[in-house]
Amino acid sequence: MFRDYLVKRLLYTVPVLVGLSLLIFVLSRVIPGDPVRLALGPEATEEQVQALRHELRLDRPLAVQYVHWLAGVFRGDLGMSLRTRRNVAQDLREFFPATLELTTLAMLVAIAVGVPLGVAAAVRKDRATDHLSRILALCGVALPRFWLAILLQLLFAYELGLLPLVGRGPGPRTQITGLFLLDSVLTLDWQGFWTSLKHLALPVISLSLGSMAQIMRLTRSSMIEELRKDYVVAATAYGLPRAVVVYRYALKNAISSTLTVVGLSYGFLLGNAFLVETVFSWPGMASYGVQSVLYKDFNAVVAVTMVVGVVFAVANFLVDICYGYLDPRIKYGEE
Amino acid sequence: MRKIGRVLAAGLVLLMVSWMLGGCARQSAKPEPAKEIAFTFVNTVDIPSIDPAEMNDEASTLCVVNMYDPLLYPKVAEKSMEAGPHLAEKWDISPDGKTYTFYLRKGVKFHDGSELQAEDVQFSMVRMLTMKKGVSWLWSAVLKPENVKVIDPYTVQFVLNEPYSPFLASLTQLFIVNKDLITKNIKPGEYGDMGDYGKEFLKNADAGSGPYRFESWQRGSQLTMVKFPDYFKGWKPGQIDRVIYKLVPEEATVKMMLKSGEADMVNQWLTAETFAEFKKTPGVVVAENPSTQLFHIAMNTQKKPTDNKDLRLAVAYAFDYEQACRDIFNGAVQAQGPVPKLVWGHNDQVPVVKRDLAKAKEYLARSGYKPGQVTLDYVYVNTLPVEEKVGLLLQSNLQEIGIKVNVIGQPWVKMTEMATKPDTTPHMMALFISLRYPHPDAHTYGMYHPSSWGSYRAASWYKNDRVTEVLDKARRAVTPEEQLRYYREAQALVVEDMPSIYVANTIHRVAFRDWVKGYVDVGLLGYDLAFYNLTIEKPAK
Repeated sequence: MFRDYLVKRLLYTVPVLVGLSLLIFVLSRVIPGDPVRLALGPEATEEQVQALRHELRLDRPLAVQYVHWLAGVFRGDLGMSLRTRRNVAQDLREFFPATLELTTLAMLVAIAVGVPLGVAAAVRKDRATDHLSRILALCGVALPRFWLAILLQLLFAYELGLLPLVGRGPGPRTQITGLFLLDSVLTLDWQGFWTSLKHLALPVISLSLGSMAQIMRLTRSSMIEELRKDYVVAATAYGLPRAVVVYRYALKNAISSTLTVVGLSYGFLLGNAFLVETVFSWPGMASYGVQSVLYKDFNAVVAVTMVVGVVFAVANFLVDICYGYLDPRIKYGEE
Repeated sequence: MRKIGRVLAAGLVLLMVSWMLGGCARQSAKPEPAKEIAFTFVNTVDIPSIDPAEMNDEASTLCVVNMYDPLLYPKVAEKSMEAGPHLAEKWDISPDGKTYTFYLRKGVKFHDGSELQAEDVQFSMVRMLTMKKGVSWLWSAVLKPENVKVIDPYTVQFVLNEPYSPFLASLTQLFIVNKDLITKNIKPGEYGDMGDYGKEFLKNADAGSGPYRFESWQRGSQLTMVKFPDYFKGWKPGQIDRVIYKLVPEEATVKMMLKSGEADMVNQWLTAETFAEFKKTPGVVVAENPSTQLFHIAMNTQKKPTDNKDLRLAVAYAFDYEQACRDIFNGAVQAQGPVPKLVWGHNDQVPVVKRDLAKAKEYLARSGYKPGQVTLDYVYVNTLPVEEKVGLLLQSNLQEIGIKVNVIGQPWVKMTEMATKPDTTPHMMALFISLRYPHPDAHTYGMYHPSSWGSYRAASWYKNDRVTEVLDKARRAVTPEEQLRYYREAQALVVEDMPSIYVANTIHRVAFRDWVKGYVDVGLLGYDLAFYNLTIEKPAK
């Protein structure tokens, strides 16, 4: 049953992604302004413009361009970037791991801090812990990420000199996946691990705070509701330890709604990390995507949108699998 | 669930301990050699390419200037932008002004150790003309690839289709690539026998002879160049060994980096307010030089009502230049005609228009239009607040003489499209005109000769037979004196017809730490950032 459901969900994503590619492909090519002129600079002659237009196949009908692009995707060719003058696939291989590492770590920190704090706030409702977590959540939601990022930079990098101001650092000596922390562990390069971790610290905090606040508040409200239920009273009356009642039983039932937010937030973080990436000069895909939009670098815009779309789909697919683990009542096949 | 919780908790503790102990460890994982002088240049603009055939902006030009050598180099030591000997030690020009023969310096080495010779110069120019990218527009109309000839290993000849007086100046933009290295590294591509002409290879390598070699490039983050010990001009103590170009798009971060000394120099694209703050920061120097950039408002001379010369003069006299230069351009100099004051060939006898409402009203009356009858469109680049402010000032100034102005923001790409036809070009267009080669030609022929129509530079759609004739003669002139005479005459004639409001020659600002010495800006894009010319009076970082 569950397997059928998973296969069905996987198949659903195919038309979604094809539709997304079609939409973004057309949009990126019909928006006003000539990207070729922009790429060649203001002095370019008409001959230069036409030559590049031909090279990029922009002189062909839109449908032909799409088919050509789609065929290229299967060969790993995503077209040339007007900004970096390289194949977009090559750019993404370089930029995507940086954003993936940043957002994944930010999400893990958001969960690791948000869930326990949410539980603590629910258990100690209307007491100091609850109020403190509320203030933290308010700050997390209300403070703009880029502003927080600049404040953290000022304090930890500029004033105290504890952490690096910008960049991702040199990374491990040998790079395998492009995820610096993972590569450092795989190659046992602890110096590289340490440096990468220090470079990640401030961007991760800046990026995670918003999601952490959301997770915290959602966990709190679900937990409050759950803790009022009869089975919790019964378990407590049986003399089960409080931690077991709260974390093993109540949290397991309360976490479903938080999980939905995690799935959605992850995709959101991936596409919206650009403000943090800009402040920290983080060579990631989000800032690459935004620069590409500003530059009308159509092939890059399409590719970044597709990557975000795929990650969004995968994240939500994984969340669905987690639902099954957390709540056995869910009978997917009977839907 | 419990296991997951434990793993997450352990991760969190590890992370927190890392942050707390962060200060104890060194900032860099790869320590630099003890005596190396490293220099960090921070730019808010990304580098699109490091291939000389593709450079078309400041970021790519500065990389090329540092890794390659041009045939001719501006006379920086004399603080002049005039093209002087460099790879070419001397040259001859035929009496008809069409044939240029260059004699190359012997013993110049490429980074791979091979010698730079005439074949490399020929190959570089032919590659440029064939690829049709970057600044190839400088030569594409006057030079055919087959007319670049190797006379002997140290002599190269260019035979132009017609006389072209800016040719020598334009050669400051011809950077020589290593023919053998590129031909060994060509991949299949669109240029026939030459495949991709080494385009792919030059994305992660250099093929130059310049003072710095390419070392690494993390796209979107940083590019590193290291000293080439065998550079033909030699090295002296205090010069920079390693250049790190860091891309930092956020201005607040750039400020912190320069103030803390993490950056040695920052770029010119920061706001005037940031430079004002830098001026008050101990240990930071702000170099302010009049730039070779013109800001003008081109008036369409082929569209009603700006086709009327008296109306154009009324507009020019109503505009408040003083306020624009002081408050909008933060201390810029009012422009005197189309050629910026710093550029060789500028005519300092051209009358400078000052705001005079009485004269403006007089010209309006002469034009046949009455106050309240005229509405003009002013179009500016919608990402440039400076241009918008100028538009609002113009709107308020012209209101005083009864002319209404619509201030319209457009994307730059849309503006270049608008400027391709006289009827789609607005009455007034805000334009910055930068100097690409050290010659008055770009600001005269490029703006006011009918053959330039269709380019944004020629958005005035100006035509005056006498000016056209003088500009043609100027291009044919061989001696600098003769060229100067014609270009000056052209400037005077153009200003009489007032096809533009000549607003300002902007200020070029760069900030650096006080240990950086030898910074000179001659006004030519990218050349002020030739790091070979700088020295550092401070122990290595």
